[in-house]
Amino acid sequence: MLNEIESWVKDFNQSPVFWLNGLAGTGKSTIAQTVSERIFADGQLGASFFCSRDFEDRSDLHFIFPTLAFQLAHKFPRFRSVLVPLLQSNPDIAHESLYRQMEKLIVEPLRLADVSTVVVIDALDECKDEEPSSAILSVLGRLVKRIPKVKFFITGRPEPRIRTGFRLPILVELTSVFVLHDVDPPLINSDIWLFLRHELSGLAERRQLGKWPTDEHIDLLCNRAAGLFVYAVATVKFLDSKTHLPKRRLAIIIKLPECTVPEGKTRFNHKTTLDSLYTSILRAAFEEEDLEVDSMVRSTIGAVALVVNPLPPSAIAELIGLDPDEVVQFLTLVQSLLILGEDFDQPVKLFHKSFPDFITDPSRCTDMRFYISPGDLHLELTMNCLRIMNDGLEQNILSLPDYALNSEVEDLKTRISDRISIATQYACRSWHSHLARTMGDVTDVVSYLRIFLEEKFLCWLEVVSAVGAVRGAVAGLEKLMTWLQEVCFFLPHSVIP
Amino acid sequence: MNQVAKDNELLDIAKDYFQFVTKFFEVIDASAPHIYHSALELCPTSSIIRKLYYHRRIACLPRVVIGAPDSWDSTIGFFGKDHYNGLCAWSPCGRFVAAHTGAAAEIRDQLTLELITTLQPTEMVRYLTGPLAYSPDGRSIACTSNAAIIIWDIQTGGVAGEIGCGTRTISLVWSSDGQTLCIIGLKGQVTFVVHTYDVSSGTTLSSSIFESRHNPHLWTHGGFFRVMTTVRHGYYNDTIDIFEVGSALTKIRSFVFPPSKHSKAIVQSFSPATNHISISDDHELHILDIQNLERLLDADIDNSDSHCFSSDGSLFAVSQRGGVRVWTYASGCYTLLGEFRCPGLLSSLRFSPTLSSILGHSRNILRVGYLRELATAPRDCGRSFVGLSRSSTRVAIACNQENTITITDPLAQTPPQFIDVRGGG
Repeated sequence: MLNEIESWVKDFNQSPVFWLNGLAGTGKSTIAQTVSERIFADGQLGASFFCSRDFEDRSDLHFIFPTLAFQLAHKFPRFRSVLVPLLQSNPDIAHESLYRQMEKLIVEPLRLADVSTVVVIDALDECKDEEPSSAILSVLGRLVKRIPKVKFFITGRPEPRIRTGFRLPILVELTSVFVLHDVDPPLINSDIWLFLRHELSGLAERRQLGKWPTDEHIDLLCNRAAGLFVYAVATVKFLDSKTHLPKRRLAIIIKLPECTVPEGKTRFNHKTTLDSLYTSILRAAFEEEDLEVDSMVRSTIGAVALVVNPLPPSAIAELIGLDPDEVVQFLTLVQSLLILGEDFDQPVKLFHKSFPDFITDPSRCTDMRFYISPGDLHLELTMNCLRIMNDGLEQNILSLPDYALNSEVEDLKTRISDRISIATQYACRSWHSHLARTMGDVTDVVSYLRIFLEEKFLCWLEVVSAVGAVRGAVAGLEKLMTWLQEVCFFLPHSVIP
Repeated sequence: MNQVAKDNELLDIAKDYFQFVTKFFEVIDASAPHIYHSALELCPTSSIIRKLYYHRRIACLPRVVIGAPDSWDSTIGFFGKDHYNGLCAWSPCGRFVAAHTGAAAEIRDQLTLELITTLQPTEMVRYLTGPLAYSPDGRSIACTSNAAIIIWDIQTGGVAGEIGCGTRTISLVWSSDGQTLCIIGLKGQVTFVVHTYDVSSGTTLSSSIFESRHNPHLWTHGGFFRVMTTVRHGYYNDTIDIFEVGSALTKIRSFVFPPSKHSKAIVQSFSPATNHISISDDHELHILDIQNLERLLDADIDNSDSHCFSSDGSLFAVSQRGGVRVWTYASGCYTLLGEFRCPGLLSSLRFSPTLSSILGHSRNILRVGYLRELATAPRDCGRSFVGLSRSSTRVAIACNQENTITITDPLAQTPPQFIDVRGGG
């Protein structure tokens, strides 16, 4: 497959757009990463954008073209010399429509600079897009012919809007498609087998485990992966624990029954045991049942799974009111499910989207010690956000000069990072997102809200103004009004004098 | 106090704060300190946010002593650099409004009037002159110039099509399936032409010329376009004819319209849902049921400009000097709902598809009024806040309906200053 992509990159007679189409867990992002590295090494990578629903700015369509333009300007001086005067004459171009953005920031400079290059856009399905067919693909279809020396490598799940986008008449003839989940199972299995062999042999060498694991072990793991690359990655991460013996961990996986629980929406449901794997990772991390610890674990993992933007462990601890060391300990125990850096100031992310789907679905996560009810956890996060804002916000928290515009305060970013903790910033941006998804008894939330509205509202507005989130605040107040209307009608205690 | 009252109180607070954030969106977005210096200073004296937070502002700074409004204005206005032209439009979902300045069309959020996107004309259509209309699926917008109809794909901002039409367009309507566009163009003083076009190919499907004493009304009905015309018969009588647009115009209904006392009045708007027309001269407004020849409303007005019925005929609005008056129609009679106070005559009034708001423009101001607030707001709210700026001396200034405010600077120990910000400030 990589050979096919490489030949597409090199041959300018082939279509200008390549869609790597694959279901969840089939390894699209890994392939995109590998393709990017290879064409970067060849000097052919112009720019890349890895969309991610974990980050607001990486899931916003309007950031794609400005980001690509920035990278192209960095790489090609000729592109830069065309782009800069264009930006000077159109300073608001970043706020214009996607069509104008692509035309002015990408197409015109590339054409005038006569640049030949490849652009990579990964996981387009993870961008927020309410249109029935992907807006980026519609724009691409209209403009890509104007830049015949530029190629676009795009990955994405075959969701309706991506499928419809690539089927647009203007784009269909310009696109080569590679359907990852239609590749012959023996071919995929052989790739997964090689991956497991390579990674586990490396692990065995580092940990001096001799001839471990056997080919039979690899066969078994490969069989269980059933074409899902994500299973193989999760297994390697689980085995590669610094504090556990890989052999013992492999024994845990091997003991798993072949298929014990439904596998959600994935079509690879005949032999996969991804859910069983997740369950056993959690059980191995938290062996003994302890109601208090289990509750803290759910809060911690739930916060990682349900926060609007990923947060570092210290901010998660502040948000959920736990000791930072405790949170780090919990996260370290399940680090095979996470992307957890050595530096605990870095945001912690889930290693794959299938994990939150699993842990919030009671039909998949059948061990109730670990099941997270989204409504309950959003309720908890709402109260925590309101608590943090009520306790921490104060008037003119940034000590801004009277009458100053935000744009006039040169050290505004430093003031924000010095005086408003990451957890507080998160609470200010996201309390309403959690509020809108709460379920259960909201009596305490109403009490916290009253304090917030009567005492801290303008302090909150100061922060959202300084961090540039006023538009989100308008949407947040709309959510609040809707929520309060429902609370007034449906709370049973509402009628009690 | 029981819990219901407490919860409703929180809801009232939230609604008041929502007004605060949307009305002062640009101020809050640009400056955190100006939340206190400008927004809080200029919010209505009866607002909840003022009651709860005004005491927190720094006492030794300049403050408005005259000029703050009494209550929340029930409209929100955007002040552009250029004048708005033509007819503006609501998106079918009611969340966005579109208007054009000639040089470009703009789509704005209806709550904050924040710019969402700008749609540029093309080589063929360099200057937009006519009405704007959203396609029924909300994915395209059509607008006219003297040379062509331009259709944008809103999703991408790109031009999806151009259809040549050499006429001054006064009406533009999409068919309910979005496949056909119909326009009415002006050919002479009382002569008009109606064209229909196939959107995908741009070909002309039909063209017919007709006469009408007053501006004709164009709408869709059951998959067809219909036109209402007025023709004078004899010295006083008018006939209102309704035609179906096909390869030729087919008259399907005709109403005699004999109110001789209205001979100078102009038919301003028509409701196909109720067969009501509104007519007015400089001082009087009437709504007539042309089917039953019944007069349903007589009202005094002051220089009316734009009239409009809602799509279901349940609401009627007219703009006049000083504001927009809105009536509801139920059980055979029109009842005044209230009046939006705003300076200048608003043109191109349009009710939102959800019937919750009304849109119009006046010179460089685009304005949306919210009907839910109109029903509860005082009829005459006195001065209404319409704009906000900052002077070179870093004092917040406002512009109220009388174009004046009074501010004082306690720090400088000067007497209150009367500042005239007429002309835009």
